[in-house]
Amino acid sequence: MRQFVIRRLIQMIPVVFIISVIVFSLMHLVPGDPVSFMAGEDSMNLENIEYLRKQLGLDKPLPVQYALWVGRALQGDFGRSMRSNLPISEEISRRLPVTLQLAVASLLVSIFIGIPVGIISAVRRNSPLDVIATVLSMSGVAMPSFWQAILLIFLFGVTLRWLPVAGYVNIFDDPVGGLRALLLPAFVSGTSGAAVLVRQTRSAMLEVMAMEYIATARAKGLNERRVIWVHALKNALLPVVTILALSLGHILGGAVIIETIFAWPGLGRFTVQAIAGHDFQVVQAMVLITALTVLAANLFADIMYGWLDPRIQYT
Amino acid sequence: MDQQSIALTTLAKRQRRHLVPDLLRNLLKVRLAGAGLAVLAVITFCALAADWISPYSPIAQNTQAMLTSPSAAFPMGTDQAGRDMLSRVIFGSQVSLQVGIIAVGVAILTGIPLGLASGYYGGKLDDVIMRIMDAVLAIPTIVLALAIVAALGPGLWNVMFAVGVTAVPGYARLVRASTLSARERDYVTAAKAIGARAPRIIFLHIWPNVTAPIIVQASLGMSRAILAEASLSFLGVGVPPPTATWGGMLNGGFAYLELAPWLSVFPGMAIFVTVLAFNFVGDALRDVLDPRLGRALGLK
Repeated sequence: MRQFVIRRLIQMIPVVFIISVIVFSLMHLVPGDPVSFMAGEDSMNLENIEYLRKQLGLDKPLPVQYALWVGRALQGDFGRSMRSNLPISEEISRRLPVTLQLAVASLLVSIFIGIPVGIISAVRRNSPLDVIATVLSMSGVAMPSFWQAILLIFLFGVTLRWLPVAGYVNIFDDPVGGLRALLLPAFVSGTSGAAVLVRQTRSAMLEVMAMEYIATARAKGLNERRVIWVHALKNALLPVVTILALSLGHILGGAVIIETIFAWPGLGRFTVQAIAGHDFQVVQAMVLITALTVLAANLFADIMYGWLDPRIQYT
Repeated sequence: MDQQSIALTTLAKRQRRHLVPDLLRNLLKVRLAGAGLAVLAVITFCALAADWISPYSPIAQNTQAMLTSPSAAFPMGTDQAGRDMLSRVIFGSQVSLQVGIIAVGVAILTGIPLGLASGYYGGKLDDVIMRIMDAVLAIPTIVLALAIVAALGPGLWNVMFAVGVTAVPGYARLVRASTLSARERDYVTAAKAIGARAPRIIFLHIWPNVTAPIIVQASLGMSRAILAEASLSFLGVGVPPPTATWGGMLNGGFAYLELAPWLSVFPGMAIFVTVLAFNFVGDALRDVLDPRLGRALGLK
């Protein structure tokens, strides 16, 4: 097992390298460098522009700039945000809890909607319940999250006035306010994941229910509830757990939209603002960190898979 | 009746019990695919005939009729600049379809050669190509598309390119997998044995195995691309105004949610219905092109 993890980590190295090259070259595709964008806003004189370029290291050849950037990034130094002039690592750690809160909550929503509905769909296959669940999950996949968010804001925020239309409240400072602020964003972010999870759980359950050990469990007289919830579910959850870990990338991508709509000061909104403000160091850092997080989640999914299913041997 | 035959009869009964609902379910899918095709026909017609069928110009501002609610004159109301929403929704279909087609085209034209080369030649080349695809896949679609648009600047073509790039790994992997399994077939070995060159083998013997999965992926890819463009435009970094795009319209209307909720309803509905239609068609195509299910339906 340990060997497997180590080997997977080594395999990740070239991928991480390629990601860093992609991210770096993307931001250097920009016609004109970041300084000229800054200079465009206030009329800086040429001397200042040269000075800034030097300070940011933009006068050096590209491979040198890349090496310097990677070297610093490895130490957690991503440079400074051009808009706030604060270290990017500081900006990120300030926003991380916000996005984490959203990610955890939406995972919970996905799990608590997706898995039970998927099980019921499989057990009551072709019943009206199953059809409704299928239609809803198809709609959930096709519905743009921002439209869903807008409609829910209109219903619960504007018309009924049950929930705030936007804004972030730290759930640890103010549990009630935090929960109220969290409800809509987490629901919107979680339902798109749930839509996928319903289908996966349903097909995994159907597959397991056709196995012989389920027939055995029934034959020895166990009641149906025990057969489904203990014998079938335990085995059907394997692929589902993997999908949950893989959905982290989806949630992080979705955070870009959800945080923008609900005005949450998290990492997703930070990325959008950085792009709108031509804050390229920030964009670089955010894309890199997001990709690394996704890779880590993939690795975690692989490890969980082996841990949950002892039949899988890592040699 | 002995024990075994009892068991067999029960098994047969159980299978028969599933067969009828399964068939119904499949027929429903075909129905849905029909509905999907019909919707797509309407949307395509809107996009092609936008100039003739839309009652007003999609960008002409009318200060006399700002934020008017849906009426006979303006069936979907007007926006904050007095532009007719119906006309804008109709014209929005042009952008969505264009993005869908070009982005999927970019992804296919890049992904297929990469997948073929990777699967056919294997070895180092395969390693390099697949690690690059892994790297691209690790960046969430919307984040990668945002970064590419940030680098290239906003604009319809850049958005189409960016959305297309994010889909490349999907096609490359798919084509690689089909190529790998086709490569080991006897007819490929035979072709090699009589001295056929790589291009001939790839296009004559391997290519036919690749097309079916590509068609399915492409129809589902249309909906992904349309959603991605709408997201970018909603975030204000997609196709710049005043071009009418569904995502951009939702972005503009969001500020007036309390005052003019109709601005937030119709463009979203358009995205939803279009994406759903492509998904229905894609699902049905998968069923038809998947030999097992296809035969059960009597379609093959």
